[in-house]
Amino acid sequence: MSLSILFVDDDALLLEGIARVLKTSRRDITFELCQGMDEAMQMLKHMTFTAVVADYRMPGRDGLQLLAAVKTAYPGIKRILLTGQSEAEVFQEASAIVDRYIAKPCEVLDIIDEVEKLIMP
Amino acid sequence: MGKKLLLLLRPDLNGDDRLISDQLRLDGLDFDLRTVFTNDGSLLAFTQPVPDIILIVCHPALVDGSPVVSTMHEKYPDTPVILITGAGGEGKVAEMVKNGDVYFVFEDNLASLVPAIHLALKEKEGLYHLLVDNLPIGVFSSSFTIPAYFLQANMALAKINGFDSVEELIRFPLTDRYVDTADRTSLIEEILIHGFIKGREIRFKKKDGAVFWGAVTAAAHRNAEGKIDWIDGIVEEVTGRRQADQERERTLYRQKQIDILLQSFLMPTSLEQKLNVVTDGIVRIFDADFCRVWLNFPGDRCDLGCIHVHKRDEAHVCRQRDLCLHLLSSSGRYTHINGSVHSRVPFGCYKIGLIASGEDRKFITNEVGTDPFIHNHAWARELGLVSFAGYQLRIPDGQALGVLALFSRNNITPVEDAMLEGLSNTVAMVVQLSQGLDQLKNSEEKYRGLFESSRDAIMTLEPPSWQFTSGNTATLAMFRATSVEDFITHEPWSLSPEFQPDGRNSAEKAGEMIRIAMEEGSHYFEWTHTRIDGQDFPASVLLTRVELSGKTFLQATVRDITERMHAQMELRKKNEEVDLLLKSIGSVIIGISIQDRVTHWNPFAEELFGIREHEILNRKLTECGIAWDWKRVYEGITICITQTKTVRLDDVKYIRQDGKDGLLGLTINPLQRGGDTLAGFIILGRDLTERRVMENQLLQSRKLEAIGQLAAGVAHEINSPLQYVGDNLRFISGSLTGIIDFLNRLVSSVQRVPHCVSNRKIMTTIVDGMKDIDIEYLVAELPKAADQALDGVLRVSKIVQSMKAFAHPGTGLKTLTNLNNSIENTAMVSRNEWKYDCELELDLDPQLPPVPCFEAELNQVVLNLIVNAVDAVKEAKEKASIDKGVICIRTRKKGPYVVIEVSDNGTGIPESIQDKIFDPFFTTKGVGKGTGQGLAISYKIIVDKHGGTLDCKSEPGKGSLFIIKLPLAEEKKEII
Repeated sequence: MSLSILFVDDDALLLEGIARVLKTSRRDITFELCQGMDEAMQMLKHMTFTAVVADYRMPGRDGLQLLAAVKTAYPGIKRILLTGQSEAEVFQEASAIVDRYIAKPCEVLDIIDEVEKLIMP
Repeated sequence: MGKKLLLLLRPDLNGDDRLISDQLRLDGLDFDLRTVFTNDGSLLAFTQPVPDIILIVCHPALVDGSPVVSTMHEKYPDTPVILITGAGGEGKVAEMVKNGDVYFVFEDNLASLVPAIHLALKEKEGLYHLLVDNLPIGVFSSSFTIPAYFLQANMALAKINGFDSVEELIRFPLTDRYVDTADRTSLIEEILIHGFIKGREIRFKKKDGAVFWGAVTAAAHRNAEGKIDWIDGIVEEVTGRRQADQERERTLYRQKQIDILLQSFLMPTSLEQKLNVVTDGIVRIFDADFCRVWLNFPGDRCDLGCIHVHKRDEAHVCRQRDLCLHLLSSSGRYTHINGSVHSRVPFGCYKIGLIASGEDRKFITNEVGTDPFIHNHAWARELGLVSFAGYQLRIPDGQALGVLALFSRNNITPVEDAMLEGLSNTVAMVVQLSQGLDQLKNSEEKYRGLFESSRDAIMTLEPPSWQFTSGNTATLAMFRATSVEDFITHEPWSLSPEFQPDGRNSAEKAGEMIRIAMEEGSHYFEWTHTRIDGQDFPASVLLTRVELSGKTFLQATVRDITERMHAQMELRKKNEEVDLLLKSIGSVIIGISIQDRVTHWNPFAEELFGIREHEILNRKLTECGIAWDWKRVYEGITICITQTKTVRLDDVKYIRQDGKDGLLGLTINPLQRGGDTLAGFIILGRDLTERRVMENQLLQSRKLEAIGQLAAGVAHEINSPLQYVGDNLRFISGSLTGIIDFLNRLVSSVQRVPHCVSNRKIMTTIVDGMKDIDIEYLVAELPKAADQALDGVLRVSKIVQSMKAFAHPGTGLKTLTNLNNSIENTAMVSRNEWKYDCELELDLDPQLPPVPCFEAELNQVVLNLIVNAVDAVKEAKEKASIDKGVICIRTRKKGPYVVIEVSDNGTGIPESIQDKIFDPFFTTKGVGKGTGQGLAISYKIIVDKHGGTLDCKSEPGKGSLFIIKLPLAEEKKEII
């Protein structure tokens, strides 16, 4: 089964960077990029994803809220939180909602590894 | 602190919640915080459980907080509400305070929030309110912060301070209430030392500026960590009592002076001389402007040139031509007794003559400038005279003998009046006696009259047995004798205890007193008598030798001085209390006279400077050998003396008794006596060393905390771009592999293509183009460039992580910490410090167990040791004693301890100062380079906060080794 991943981050440059790596290194993976929570929820309505990778801090509502909404609406989708923070506080708060918690900066391929580990234990 | 508090917070602006919870956490409050942003809607979600405290932030310029307060009160009628508000909102706050249980804290003074919470919880129990509201004395609790405010006060306190309401009173900083804010400082200092203060009398200002004396009794309320949260206290207005006390002391003093004066009557001097002593004495004791005594001389003297002889009406007319008042003594402003209109005053004429003639036996006025009985108002006003008192010199039941009169520039009080009147009576007796001796010899009758009517107990004793032979009515009353017959069966010593207070036998001592009186004419002494009913009382006795009708006997005038002794005891007790206070106070007190002699040196000074009191008293301050910063102390003293004002000197360096450097806080206070005469000065001093170290440590941690917070904020901002810098670099790096491969193939294909005319042009373009861009170099370097850029990204991200971890604001509790990680972080953060001068080797024990510690502070210590090591290495390199600096940090587990060793091959520490390096303010670094507190703070952190040890082994020229030992087991702290 091929992976399909939705990346959500308010920073367009970050999303483009991820796209470049995936397009060159993992052509087997399908992915979508979006910059906001509302847009993400729209996409989730119309497409099927293996995992959602969201940034912790976004203007307005944060990534954690998005993942919480995903957990409620699409419990089967794996949820990964990406963050520049590494405080224990965030981690505690996130642990009930997300499946993985990854600190920035990281390698995109590591994120993919984590998703694969999640779906094939 | 017991259970966790549930706080409900209604913030006003974004960030309020963060600010407040940070502050509360900093102050050690154990709490859960729930935040509601709307005024009422979301409240529903938090109905259960009921919060312990509601905090409402209200920046008054933006929002009126009162509706929120009302809503909260409705929802949680039993929960105290604390309003946090900014300047400009006092009016609204006062209104709300009036409306109910609202406490308030200024937003720029959040440090008082925790005390306010404690107070609110305490008051919730209701006892405090009940107590406070019903007390007739002022009750308060005040914050311990600066500026200090009353947190709570009762109506009585507001009244005492001249306010109409408590709300109005607490709106002002309480320092406004002090006449001298130094009183507040010393009060706080004493509370800090003893935990409480009792009955301290301080001058305060009412709202209208009027000064009053308040007796303050206060105690500090401390939290579980022993820090002072707030001060509880009571204030009692004692202005009246103090004035009375002062008045009483003055009266006592004057009485004593008068007693001394009366003794002089016993000297064998002329009547004029005796009267002179009286008038001099009155000027001196009562501060009279001038005082005079006139005596009546019989006979019409008008023909002898009296200036009043022709007056037939108005003020100075003679009413009784056979008597005239003659001025016998004058002291003060005027001392001549002849030549003026006053040297002879007609008996019965206006004022003095009237007093003498008995129409006014005494006349007193405190308004001589306007009183119709004063003859010359203009003169009185010009001299600034305020009062006049004139007394007839008269023996009870006898005739008028003269007048004693005085003018003063002060009011004459009733007490002074009574004393003056008593003195006049005595003077009358002296005059009578003297005249009697001169003119009325053998007039036993006169003597009897005098004797009987005296208010003093007078008795006679006759030789050879020296039994009492008579006693007047006052005597009988004093000794509680039923009759003269009853009284005269006793000898003086039988009406005395067996021994006098000095331990001598009464009979034997009495014999000696009598002998002296007989030999010298009189003798004055103190004596303990016994009444006939057995009660002892202290007395003063005046024995006078009297020769009457050919007989020689002794007259004894005995005065019961129980009251006086009692008052003296009180005074002495008070002095002892003051002495005790001086001795027990936890500050240095040095008194210096204007002649630059040390007059006081309390035990605290002995301890601090290692100089005993007896070694230093009466010596010059400059010769006493105190090792402190004389330059600054001199400057302070000079300002104090020349400007007669209190001078405060902070952080004066001195050498403690143990030879260590310390810091003193000094205040130099001018000592003024009698208004404006400088009598010397007092130096009060406190050792600030410990406090400064603590403050600096706190400052350091605050700085680190700020860095930590900043780093946390910056981390996200940096990490996001780093993410795509990295992604793009990896993309470039990955793509390059393909491109380079492609290029290589292209190049070799080009080389293999046969050169023919048709493709030569294309080939040349390609080959030239490749040469232009130096394709071989690019192919070789581009992958390296991408890889190195990636390395850089990793390093940047690691530094940000390290900074965050290094300065992570602690939770206020020890946490189990992986010391190896901490040390790696610290090494990373301080890289810039060491990388130019030395190598930093880490030899970290991978088996090291986690250690309970305050991580941020421990990092501070390690950083400190690294920085010191780098300095030592630099110095050694400058001296060219080493080529390469090496600093090594090792961790090991040793028994129940973890050991961190920081070694360097720098200059080492000279043996002579090795025992001083941990002293506060000891530094070998140049001015501006080090505070001299790094190692002192480190020592405090390791030894005091962690219960570990910090040691140093150093060999000059070889290097130093610092060894930190931290206990693995958390020692149980006693909770007080």
